[in-house]
Amino acid sequence: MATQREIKKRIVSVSSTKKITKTMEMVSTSKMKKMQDRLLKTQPYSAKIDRMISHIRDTAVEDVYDPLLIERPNPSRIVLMSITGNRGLCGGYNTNILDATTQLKRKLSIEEGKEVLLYVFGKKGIGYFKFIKETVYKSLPNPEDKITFPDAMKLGDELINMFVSGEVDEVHLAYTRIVSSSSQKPAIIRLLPITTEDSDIIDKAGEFKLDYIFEPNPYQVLSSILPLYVKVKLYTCILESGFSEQFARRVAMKNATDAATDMVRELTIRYNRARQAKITNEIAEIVGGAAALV
Amino acid sequence: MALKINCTVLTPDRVLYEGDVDFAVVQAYDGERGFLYNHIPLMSELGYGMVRLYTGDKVEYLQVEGGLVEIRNNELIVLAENALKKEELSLDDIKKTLTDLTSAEKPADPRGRFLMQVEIDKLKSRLKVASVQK
Repeated sequence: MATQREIKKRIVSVSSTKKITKTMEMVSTSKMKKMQDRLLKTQPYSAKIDRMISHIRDTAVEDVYDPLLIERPNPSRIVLMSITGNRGLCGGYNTNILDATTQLKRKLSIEEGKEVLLYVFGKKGIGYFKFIKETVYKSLPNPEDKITFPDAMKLGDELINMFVSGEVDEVHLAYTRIVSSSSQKPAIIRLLPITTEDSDIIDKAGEFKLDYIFEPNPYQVLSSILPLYVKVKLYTCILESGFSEQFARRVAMKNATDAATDMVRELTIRYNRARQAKITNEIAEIVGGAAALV
Repeated sequence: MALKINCTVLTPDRVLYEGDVDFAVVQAYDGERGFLYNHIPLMSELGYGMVRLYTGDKVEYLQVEGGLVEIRNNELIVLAENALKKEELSLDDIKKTLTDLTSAEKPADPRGRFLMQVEIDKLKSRLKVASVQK
C-alpha cells in the first residue's frame, strides 16, 4: 500500500492537471463561440450567393456553361485537401479527419489508379503524413482563428487556377462538418468541378422566369460568381472545421476535468485510509508498549 | 412615401449595411450605376470604387473591391469580395502606402506587375472614398 506522502503527491499532481484542463476547456469554449459567431456572419453571404446563382439559372441562361462546371472524362489527377488542426488534445478530431482522408486516397489511388495530390492544411496533418512517409503535394499550417476571407480567397484562387489550367481534374476537400451543434463528423466534398446537382443551387430554383439585365452578359456574371461561390464554400468549410476542433477540444477537456475530479476524490479516500491505518498502528504500538511496562 | 429600396451590403466576414435607402449608387465594373425604386431586375459585376447610399439627407459612403450587385423586387444586394466603411479608412495611411507602392520597383514577371497594378487600383479607390468631404 502506498504511503501517505506518495498519495498526497499524486493528489497534488492530479489537481494541478485538473486546473490546466479546466482552463483549456474555458479557452476553447470562448474560441468556439468566436468561431460560431464568424460562421453565422458568413451565412447571409453564402445564402445570397446561392440565391443569385439560382436566379441566373432561372432566367436567360438555360445552357449554363462555365469551365468550373465541366466534368472531365476520366479524371486522372486529383487534389485532396485535408483540413486538420495545429494542436492535439482534442479527442478524435484529427484522427477522424485523417482517417477519412487516407481512406479516400487509398480508394482513389489503389482501386481507381488515379494520381492523388495531398494538400494538407494544419500541423497535425503534416506531422501525420510525415510519420507514415506519405508524400505531400503541399502543406500549410492552419491559421486557426486568424483566418480571414482574403486568405481563403488566395487559397481558392490557387485551387481554381490548378483546375482551370488542366493541371488537376478534380479538387476534393476533407473537413469536419457541423451536423448539429452537438455533433460534428468528417465529410468529404468535391469542390471542383462544381456539382450542378448541388442541392444548394437547384432546390432553390423558382418557377418564374424574370426579365433580367445582366451586365455585361449572363455568362460573364456567372463566371465571376462561381469562383466566389467556391471561395466562400472553402472559407465556410475552414471555419466549420475550426469550430469543430474547438468543440472537440472542449469535450475532451471536460471529460479530462471530470476524470481528474473523480480521481482526486478516490485518492483522498485512500489518503484518509492510510492516515487512519497509521494512527491505529501507532496507538496499538503505544498500548503495546505501555502493557509491557506494567 | 415608401418608395425605398431595401439595401444590404455584405462581405463574407460581415454585414456592412442593412436598411432602406432612397437611392443607391454602386461602382459597377464599367462605371457607376444608380438604383431607384422599381428598378428592373439586374445583376452586374462590381469594380473597385465607391458605394453611396442616400437616405433622406444622409449619405453613407462605402468602398467595395470587386464582387456582384443584384437588384430584384426593390431588394438591392451588394455582395462584395472586400468592402470597407468610410470611417474605417485613414487618408494618411492610404496615401503613404500608395506612394510607397508607386515608387517601389516594378516586379519583373508579368503576373507580379499585374497584381501590383490591382493593389494600386484598390488603393486609389480607397483614397477616393476616404477623401470625400461630407
